Formats: sequence, C-alpha cells, structure tokens
Amino acid sequence: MKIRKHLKYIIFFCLTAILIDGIFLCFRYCSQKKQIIQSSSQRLNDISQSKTDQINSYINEIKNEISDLVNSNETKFLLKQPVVIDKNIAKVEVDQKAKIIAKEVENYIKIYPKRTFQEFKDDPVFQKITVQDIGLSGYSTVENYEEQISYFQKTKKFLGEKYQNIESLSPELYQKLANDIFISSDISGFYKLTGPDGKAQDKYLHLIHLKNKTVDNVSLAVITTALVGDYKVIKEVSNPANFFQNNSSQNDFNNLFLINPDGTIIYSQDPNKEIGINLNWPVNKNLTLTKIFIQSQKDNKTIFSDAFIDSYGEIYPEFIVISPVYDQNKLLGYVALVKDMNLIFEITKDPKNLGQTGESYLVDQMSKLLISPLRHNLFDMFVQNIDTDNANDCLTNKINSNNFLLNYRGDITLATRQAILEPSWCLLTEINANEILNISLQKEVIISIAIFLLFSFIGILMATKINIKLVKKNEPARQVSKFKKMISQLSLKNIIILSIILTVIYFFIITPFFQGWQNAAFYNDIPDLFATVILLILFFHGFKFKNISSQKLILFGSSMAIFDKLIQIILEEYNYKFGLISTYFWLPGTTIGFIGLFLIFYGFKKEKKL
Amino acid sequence: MMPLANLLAVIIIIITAVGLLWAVSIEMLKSKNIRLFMPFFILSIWLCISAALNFYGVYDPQIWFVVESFWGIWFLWILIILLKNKNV
Repeated sequence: MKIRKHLKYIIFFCLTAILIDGIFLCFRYCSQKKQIIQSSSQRLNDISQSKTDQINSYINEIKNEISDLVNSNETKFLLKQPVVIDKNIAKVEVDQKAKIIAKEVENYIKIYPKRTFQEFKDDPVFQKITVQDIGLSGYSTVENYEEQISYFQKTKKFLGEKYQNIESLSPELYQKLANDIFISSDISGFYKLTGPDGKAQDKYLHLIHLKNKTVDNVSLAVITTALVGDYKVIKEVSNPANFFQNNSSQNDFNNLFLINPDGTIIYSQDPNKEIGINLNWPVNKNLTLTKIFIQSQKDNKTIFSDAFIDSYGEIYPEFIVISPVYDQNKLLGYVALVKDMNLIFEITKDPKNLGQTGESYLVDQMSKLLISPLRHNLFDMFVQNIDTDNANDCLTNKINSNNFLLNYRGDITLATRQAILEPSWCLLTEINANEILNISLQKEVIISIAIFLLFSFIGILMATKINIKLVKKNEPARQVSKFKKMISQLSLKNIIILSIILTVIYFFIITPFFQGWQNAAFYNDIPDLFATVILLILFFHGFKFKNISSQKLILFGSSMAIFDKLIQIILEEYNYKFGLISTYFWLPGTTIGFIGLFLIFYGFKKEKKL
Repeated sequence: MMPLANLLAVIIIIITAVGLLWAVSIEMLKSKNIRLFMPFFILSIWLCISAALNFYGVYDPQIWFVVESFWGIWFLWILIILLKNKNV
C-alpha cells in the first residue's frame, strides 16, 4: 500500500528525468559536432592566448632588464674605456679554429677513405673546408706534412710555397717549427710579419698534424694564423665580471656583450665567447649577433634575435636582445644580452587542458623551424621543418575558417595559432581531432546516464523518505516520521555542523574520481560548496516549519538547488581535469536549480504571510 | 555566432530572472514590504548579470568566482530572514 502510494511519485520523477535528459540529449545530438568543435576551438584559443600572454609578459621583463642595463652607470663606464689589442684573444680564436678545421678535415678524409691526395686537391668541398677566414685577415691552410708545402691557400700566389718562408719573417717561430715538427703534432706561437708598408705586425700561428692519411699515404697538417692587431677589447678593468653581478635583476642571462659603435665586441661576460672580434668582418656576417647589431644600428632601437644554437654540441637554444647605449645624445655603443629559453619552454610544454594529444610549440617565422621542444620530444629543435598550413596561416596572418588542419606528422588536428611579434615566432597549439570527437561522444553518454540516475535517485529518495503528498494549506502534519522528527529537533548549531560535514564528505567523495582533493578545482568549487552549505541549512531548517505547505516548498526547492550545486561541483572537477565541456551538460542541473529557486520563493512567501 | 548551448543557457537564465523579478515585484507591491523580498529581488538582478556575462562570452574565472560566491550570500540572506521566523 505504502509502495503504491509512492509509486506515482517515483514514476513522475523517472519520467521527468527521462524527459529533461532526453530534451537536452536531442539538442546535443542535433548540434553535437558543431558544438564540440566550437567549444574545443574556444578552449584551444583560450589556452593559446594565455600562453602567448605569458611569453609576451616574459619578453617585456627582458625589455625592462635591458633598459636597466642601458641606463646603468656600469655599462656607460665600460663603453667609455679605451680599447687595446689583446694577444691572448687572438691566440684563443686561432687555437679554437685550428682544432675545428682539423676535425672537419679528418672527418672528410674518413668519409672518402679511397681518395688520393690529388683527388682531394681537386675537390671544391675539401678546398672550402681547408681554406677558411679567421678574423679580419687571418686564414687557414692545409699542407703536405712531409713535403712541408702548402697546397690549399687563400692567396693563390702562395700555393705550392714551402713554409720555410717563415724563417725570414720570424726566425724564432721557424726554429720552433723545425725543431718540434717531428716531435709534436700540435705546434703554436707568435711571430712578426712585415706588411707591405714595411711595418712589422704581430701574428699567431697554430699547426696541427692530422692523424689520418690519404689512400696514397700523404700526411696532412692544418695551419691557422691571424693578425693579433685585429682583436681589440677594453683596457683592463679590475674585476669587470663583477660589474653586472651586483644587481641581481641584471644577472639572469647566459652572457652579456658590450659592442662599440664600429662593431667590435669589447667586453663579454663569458671570456670564452666572441670577445675582441668585429661584427662587420665578412667572416662574421652570418652571426646572429651581427644580424641584430646591424638592425639595431639601422632602426636605433632594441631588437630581438631569432632563437639559435650557439655552437656545435649545444642542444639548448638561446636568443639575444640588443639595445643602443647613449650618454647625453652620444652613441657609446651597444649592450647585448644572451638569454636561454627555459622559461619559455616551461610555458609552451605545459600540457594542462590539452588532453592526451594536445601540444603547443614555437616555430620561427623566418626559417619555419621548430624552436621549442614538442610534448613528447619526438623531433629535434632546429631540425624539424614545420611547413604546415597552421604555420603558414600564422606567417600570413590569415584567419583560417577551417580549424582542422594537418600537423607536422600528417595527423588531422584541431589547430590554432598566435603570432609573437618580438621575437618573430609563432605559437602553434594543436590537438588530435580523433581525441576531441571520440572522447566527447563517450563522456556525453556517461554524463547523460549519470544525470538520469542522479535525478531519479533523488526523486525516489524524496518520494519515499519525505511525505510528499500535497496537503491543504495550513493543515498540520498528520503523520510525522522518525526521520522528520529527528531533523526538526536539531538545534541551529547542529544543523550548521551537519551541513558542513555533509558538504565536506561530498567533496572528499567526488574529488578522488578526478585529480584528488589536493589538486581539486578549489577556485571554482569554493563558491558552490559555500552555497551548498547554506542550502543544506535551509533544507534542514525547513523541517521545523509548522506550515506544511511552505515546508514542502522549501524542502523541494532547497533540495533541487542543492542538486544543482552538487552537479556543478562534479562538472567543475571534470572541466579542470579534462578541459571545457559543452554548455549542454550544465543546462539540466541549472534548470532544476532555477525551478528550486522558484519553489524556495513561494515557500518563503507562504511562510512570511502567516 | 553564439553556440546554441550558450544561447539556450542565456534564454533559461533570462526567463528565470524575468519570472522571478515579476513575481517578487508583485509580492513587494502587494505586501508593501520591500525589505522582506529584497534578497529575491537582488537575486533576480544577479541572474540578469549572469545572463549578460554569458551572452557576451565573459568567462573570466575571477569574475565567475565573485558571481557564484554571491549566490551563497543571497541564500544566506534568505535563510537569515527565515531563521527569524517565529512560526517554527
């Protein structure tokens, strides 16, 4: 009899649940694909925009950093120092070049082990490797080690010349070469060279005897030389390295260069890097620093370089920012900061809200090369060319109506792009199309079932536990259940404690299904949890009302509003873990919550009219 | 073009807001007790603000944190009025 009495309410709630869920399911299916694409695009755009904002904010910090350096007294003091020739810098440069060229020649011989010396002589690639410029007037050459005759020369008239000629130019060095040549495979030293004007100039020479020979048993040696006078730096200043280390905000860089107006790098924080050279020398024309130095000279403003790899063996890219330094309208020189990209990589690699396959990466606008690591590090930076429609749209600033584009792997992805103006980069954000469409369908079905079950459960609970039979206005309750009696006897203090406990328990039950309570979406959950506590107090307090009609309305209304808030907490957690979901999922709960609001209002009205 | 789901959400919020505002206003005039129904009146205005934010696509988490938090405050206001009720 009791079941029969409640059956109609149970059926009513189940039918209502099916009806509401069905209506929204219909709407969702009708515009499912379009809706999913739109919401996913919106989410992807938001992520991309947020990352771009973070990168731009970091770039602005760097601008402030270089601005501080430009205006600092230390920079101006160092740029005003007289410039002197530094023998040691010429030595370091020539030594380094000798080792690099020797390695290159050795490797080339290894590639062609069956080639004769004559064949190597005729090979233009080999000639290019052996004869390289060093500094302004230095160069490298390769000689037949046994014959001591140079067969690869920058100046043709020296071809086939014996290096005994050095004797007339520098007897000291010649003696060193003659004595050591069969003892050591690595000889170096300074010597004087009389120029065409009859003036003696200091030179430095480095000879390396190569280990491997050609197939016809010819042994080779690489010789590198340079004019010491080409390398200039500022006059020795006591502890120049400390100059920029006093201010901690100006210390977060890989290197710092000071360049005088004619292009000579007169100071380097790291003494092993390009110090003493001139950026206008032809040999330096392809340096990243040279390119932005020329640009800064031309535009007279702060310029950012593209990302670049500093030298062989380096795997982490850097970028440079250069700015002119003035003192009372007089150009003193330029200050250049070399920065690493670690912080930018942290931003681009952040996979939050990007699902399983989504990733963000940077592409250089000029070279179209990948300049930041991919999410799963599948391809190398500065190796992988990103010649995709998404990258091209970014370069041409085109708004592509088709959001589904092929990525660098040939997969169909939902793609978005953001141009970063300084430096000229593109931030591409892409997520696999299959992931969006498949998972969306699955979660849609799961949530629809969950909504139906929850609604039905609450309906059945209310129908059986609470006497929902509508009573006439002002009619006192005839049958008071034990549960109702127990609740109505609770004091306000106990009601508040009970409400808080129930809300907290709910929070700890729900969050482990997502990211755990420690990583819950607190920012979104707190307002809902707060409202739930208040509504629970209202619900329990409703049992105390003597007027049955208003009691029922308040109980119904508050339980519907509580239901809405509880659903919202689940959806917030889902959003936080898996990314935004369609607004359709919010609608059933919200609608029920609004109906509850009306019921609360009418209950309130009835109660207050008494 | 606004997604259909968002449009539906805006329509539902507006219907609720207008309905509540209408019902509350009538009660206010009938009972001549404006203070009593003030939390519902403000709640309906609050709903209009929510609808406007949805309509213009403002989904800034900080703004919504404030909007959602005030729901609890309006309910608390209603609860305080009911707690003063002597008919319990």
